[in-house]
This record gives sequence, C-alpha cells and structure tokens, in this order.
Amino acid sequence: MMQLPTASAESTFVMTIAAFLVAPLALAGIALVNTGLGRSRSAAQSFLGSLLLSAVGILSCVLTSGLWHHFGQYPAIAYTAGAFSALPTHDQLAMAFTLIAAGIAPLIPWGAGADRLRLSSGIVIAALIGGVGIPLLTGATWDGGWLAQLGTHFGLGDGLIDYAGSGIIQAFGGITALAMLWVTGSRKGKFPKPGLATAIPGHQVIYVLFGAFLSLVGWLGLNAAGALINSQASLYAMPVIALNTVLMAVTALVATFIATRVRFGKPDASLCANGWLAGLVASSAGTQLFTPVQAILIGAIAGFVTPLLVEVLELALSIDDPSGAIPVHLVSGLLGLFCAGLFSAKPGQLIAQLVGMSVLLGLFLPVLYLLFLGINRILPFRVDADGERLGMDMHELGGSAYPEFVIHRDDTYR
Amino acid sequence: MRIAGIFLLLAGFALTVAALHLMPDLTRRAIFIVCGVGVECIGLGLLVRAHMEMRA
Repeated sequence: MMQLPTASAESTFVMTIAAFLVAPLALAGIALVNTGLGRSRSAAQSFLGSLLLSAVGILSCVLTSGLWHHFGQYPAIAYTAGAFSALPTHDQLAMAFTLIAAGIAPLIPWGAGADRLRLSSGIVIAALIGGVGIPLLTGATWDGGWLAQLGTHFGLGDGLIDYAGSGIIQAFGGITALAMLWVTGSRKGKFPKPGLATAIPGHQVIYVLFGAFLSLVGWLGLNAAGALINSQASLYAMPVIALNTVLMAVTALVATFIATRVRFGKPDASLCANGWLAGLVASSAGTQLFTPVQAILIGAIAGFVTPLLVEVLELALSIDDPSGAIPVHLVSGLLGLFCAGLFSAKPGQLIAQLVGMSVLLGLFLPVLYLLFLGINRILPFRVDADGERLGMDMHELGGSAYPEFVIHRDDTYR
Repeated sequence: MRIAGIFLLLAGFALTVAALHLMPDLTRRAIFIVCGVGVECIGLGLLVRAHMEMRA
C-alpha cells in the first residue's frame, strides 16, 4: 500500500465522518433511485437487492482483497484483536474506503437490470465486482499501483487521477451494467417488433427525487473522504470540494431541466434526477482540482448529455436501461475522468486519464461481457417469462411491496 | 460482428499498454494512446451495432 503522511487527529476525524457516516448515504440514494425507476411489482426485490448486493460486494472485497492484498500485507489484522487499530491511520481508512466502493458499485448494474435480473445473478455480479474488479482497480490507483505510477514511470502528469471513484466506482459499475444488459436483454414488451420503444415509467418518482437529493449528501462525504484519503489534500481543501460538488449537481440539474423542457415540451422529473446524479458522478474524479467555473461547465455538459443519451440508448440503440446506469454512471464517470485531465496544467495528465479510460473500456468491458456470457449459460441472469409477468416481488420474495394496492394492468404483452 | 468488437476492444487496450512501454517520448506515446482509445471506440461501436441487429 502507498505510504501516505501521518494524518492529524482533525484530519482523521473528518475522514472518518465523511467516509463512514456521510458517504454511505450515496448508497442509500442510488438504492432509492433504482427502486423508484423500476416497476411497483418489483420494488421490494429491488430495494432488498440493493442492500444484499452491497453486503455481498463488501464481503467479497474483504475476503479476496484482504487475502491477496491488505490481509496479505498485515496478516495479523484478520485474527488478532487490536491489530487493525495498530495499523497506520491512512491504511485503516484506505481499506475501509475501498469497502465503501465495493458496496456502491454493484448497485449500478442492479438498477440497470430492474424488473428482470434475478437476485441470485445479482449476487454473482456483486461478488465479481467486489471480489475482483474493485480490488484490481483500487490496487492500481488508490493503493499506488501501475496506474498511479504513470507519472513516475512514463511522465504522464501525476498518474491516473480518480480520488473518489468517477472511473473506479461509477464508470466501472456502468461498464458492468452495459455488459449485463447485453447478456440479459430488455424487459418484455419494451421493444415491440413494429414501432417505437414502449415507455415504461418508474413507479415512484418521489423515491427517485429524494434518492437524488440524498445522494448529494452522500457524494459530499464520498468526495471529501476520497480527496483526503487518496490524495494528499488538506482539510483546507474541504470548502472547495463541497462547493464544486454542489455546483456540478445543481448545474447538471438545471441543464437537464432545460434540455427536457426544450426537447419534450415539459421537464421530466426522473430525467432531472438522473441529470443531478450525472453531475455528482462527474465530480468524483478530482473535485478539488476544478475551479468553480470549470465545475459549472462540467456539470452543464453532464446534465445536457444525460437526457439525450437516455433517448438515444432507448430509441436508436435498443438498450433497455431503466435506471439510466449507462448515461449517468458510465458516460458521466468517463467525462469526470477526462475533465480531470483536460483542466490539469500538468503535461501528460490528459493522456494518463485516457489510459485509465482505456483500461475500463478495453480490458474490463470485453472480459466482463465474455464472463457474463459464460455465467449466463450456467445461471441464467434473466427471470423466466412467468416471473417477469408476475413481478419480481411475487416471483422471488413471495410477497409484494405494496400489498394493499391493486394493481396494474398487464402491460408486458401487447 | 460481436467477436470483431471484442477483439478491437482488447486490441485497443493492448495498443495503449504497448505505447506506454515502447514509445520513447511523450508525443509519440500520446498519439499511440489516443489511437488505442480510438480503436476501442470502434470496437464498442461494433458491439453496440451487433446487439442492435440481434433485436431486429
């Protein structure tokens, strides 16, 4: 693990609060957004799945990352009381921050697979993300691996900059979602043979908007903790981080509001929530490195592009992504990575960011796709047609999230 | 088309890593890395296109 300077007591306190009391709210926010954007007949399965997949991601990360990396370096911490707290503070915090990443990333493909991805398949995907993907990526960047050393070895700026996980958490989750969507396919009735794609609106837009709002609080903690733990940012950088995070979210929201108002005649609430999230996602690469004007510009791009991409994915590319994982997490995550290089004054920084993007797109996407194709043959990702018609709640849990309410017409078959 | 897409994605990544190790100066390294990312974009486009055709 990269040896960082000893943290002061104040810095440790702020890191702990930000990483472990505030950042998990991002997880809650994404879970709410995922649930709200799915159908009512799959709501309980969606929210339970979010909790379960986070748990599986974190546990897998502890087991595998611990075995090959952290616990390998400090074997006593797994078995000896007090050994963990005897580690250097930065090592303790870095290990725990990695677990937060392993908890958040599985929620992204889970939301994209709403209404047809089986819980057992979600667990396998979460285990792969938390157990293999996140340890490899955090090892290469946050823990001082080859991507972090691109600057030292190849003269590319400061190496890959991604302090709070625009690429490592968000774009990686988006890439997993894309590979999963190609293997799983669309919801039944989404793309009828003749005609346009069918609109399947989310069942609870208040969850979606509240989830987006909650995510802002979570992202403030995520960005603050990421900057303190994974770069050498001081506590004096906290106001800039908070300001830029908020600026990116609000600008993205306004941009999406305007784009949907102009495009559709009326603003779209769920797309506005997605725009807000896209701004947050783009902020995570290097929040403290941007000026407020740059933050506004990046937020505006993320917010403007998101609703247009949602439309392109659905109408032109036939990708059924109910939670908007690809425009919000994949594209905005890559945008954040790119902008962290674009606005850097260091020579070669943009190239280092491109190398990071190349690893995500060129290595992880094909490998995950091939892996998912293989797993899908043994453990089908997609629920059977009857389960999809009944809803995931009844099919997988045996009870509905809203038992008092009846019920929608069956719009899956037209 | 799917196989070609996957191959191009991996080839783009290989080009990027090769550029890091084989190119002597920053300019040539940058050009080859940009080309690597470009190849990946073509591969991604092919994969997307392949899945669109599957629907039709």
